[in-house]
Amino acid sequence: MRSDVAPVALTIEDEAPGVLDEAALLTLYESTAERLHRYVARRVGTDTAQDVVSEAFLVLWDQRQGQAYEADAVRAWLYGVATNLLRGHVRAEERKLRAWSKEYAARTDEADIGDRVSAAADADVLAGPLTAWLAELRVEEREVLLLNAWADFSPTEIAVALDVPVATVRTRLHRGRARLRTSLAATDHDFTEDSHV
Amino acid sequence: MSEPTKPETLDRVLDAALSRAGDEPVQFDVAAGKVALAAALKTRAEVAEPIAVGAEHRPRRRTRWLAAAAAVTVLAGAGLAASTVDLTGVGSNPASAAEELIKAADLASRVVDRPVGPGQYRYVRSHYTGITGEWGSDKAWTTDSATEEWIPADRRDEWMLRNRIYSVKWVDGHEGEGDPEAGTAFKDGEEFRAKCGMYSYFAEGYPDRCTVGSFHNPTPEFIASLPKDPAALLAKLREEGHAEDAGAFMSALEALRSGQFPAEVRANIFRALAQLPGLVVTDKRANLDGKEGVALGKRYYDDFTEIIIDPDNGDFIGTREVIAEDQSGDKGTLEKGTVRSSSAVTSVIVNSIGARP
Repeated sequence: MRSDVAPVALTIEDEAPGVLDEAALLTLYESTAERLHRYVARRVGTDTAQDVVSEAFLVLWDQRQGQAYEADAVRAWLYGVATNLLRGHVRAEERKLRAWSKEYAARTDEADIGDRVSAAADADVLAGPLTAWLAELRVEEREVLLLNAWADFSPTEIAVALDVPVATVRTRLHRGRARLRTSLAATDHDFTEDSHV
Repeated sequence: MSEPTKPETLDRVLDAALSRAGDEPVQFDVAAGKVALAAALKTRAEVAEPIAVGAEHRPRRRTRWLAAAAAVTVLAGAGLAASTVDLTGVGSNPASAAEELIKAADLASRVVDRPVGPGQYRYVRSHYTGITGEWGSDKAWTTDSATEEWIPADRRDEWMLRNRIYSVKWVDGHEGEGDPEAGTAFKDGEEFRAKCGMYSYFAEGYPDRCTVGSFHNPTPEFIASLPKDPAALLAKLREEGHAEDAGAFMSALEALRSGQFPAEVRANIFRALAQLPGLVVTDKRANLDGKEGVALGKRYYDDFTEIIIDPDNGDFIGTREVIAEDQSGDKGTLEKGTVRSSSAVTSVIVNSIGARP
């Protein structure tokens, strides 16, 4: 699932836990910043994303320099910080998602896709409206859903990153998905059903 | 007339569409960013007081983050159910949910709360049981875990959080390799202590729990600011839940789950919920952690989200998620009444940090 965002192992993962010094922070930036930026940009656009990513790394430095760190831990921490920072940009995020949806609709030729009958074709048609529906979700549901779908975080990781009980993460994830599924089902799109399974 | 789309088809399309949604090529210059970051660090080292000195004043904390690889979510399929609820006839009398809530509110408002005295702690234990599965695979496991938290009378003092994992087991016929991932972030018995409950694993930017109140984190100031009038309180719950009834119900649920509201305010929350449309009695004898109560549920897509209240004294027992309607999927038939997850909440006053009732 979510094949386009397959987890990327951090290159420092196999090394012994080190101390977060300047060199380590810069190495960490090299291995994670682009991916974090892509995730944040997908939510708020690239300009705001630059600021959010820079700020997240500086916050990491201010809080954790000189301390031992683990690569996975730091990754979760950075995404948690970014998520908290993004709460200050909710309007921008919703604008970005709706704008993307419109722009996508304008450049997607349904007739072209319509000849292909596959789940991929379904997704091509529905990615536009889906992005606009993301803007309608409660922000708590959206951030959990997108950390899961776009950043490949498990509910457990999300619970730690956001300090929310894992039960609440699951509820929000389940609700967010249920809501989007219902919106999908309500379209007049003719879904390609599974031929077997 | 075409057949209704299968849930598994919708899930598959949803995943595929989500992976495209909002995506576009973005330019990111890692090398330039790295130079800028190095420059910013240099400026900080020169301008700010040496951060290393500041760090000495902060307690050194070693944060443990457990990361899991698989993307998982809650599912429930045939044969997975730990327990089921008979939902026959549910919703036929919507008035009864409001009646139960008013009754519980009357009982709760008669409770005289003992305040948490100086040096004492509010002990809140949340006992979670649930089934977790992995999207796109047949793996599923049950988790039985709890969190215990000790909140000091003065929130600025030290809090403690302890995580317990009682069992994590594969569901028969849904085994994967090795051991299943515990449905919680921490190791059994892992403990955190911090003033204001700002534990070391929190992400930076998390609102200060001593000063930023919410239904989820009720500071005394937040509790005092809540309207007494049930309609006004419902409006506040809606506001926090983004103006929706389902959101309002979630806000109430988070408030009750916190275990930190005085009986009088809990009574007001019940009265506010009595005015919420769509709430029905889903189970008259719901058993959670050995306590029996009446379950009041609100339908949200596939599920009823329930709060369970002790009809004898208006106590809040916990919450559940129950499948509202028979479903079918490639993981088997999802039966109406299947309990997806439950969370039982205990909240009492204890005399010392780490003490249990």
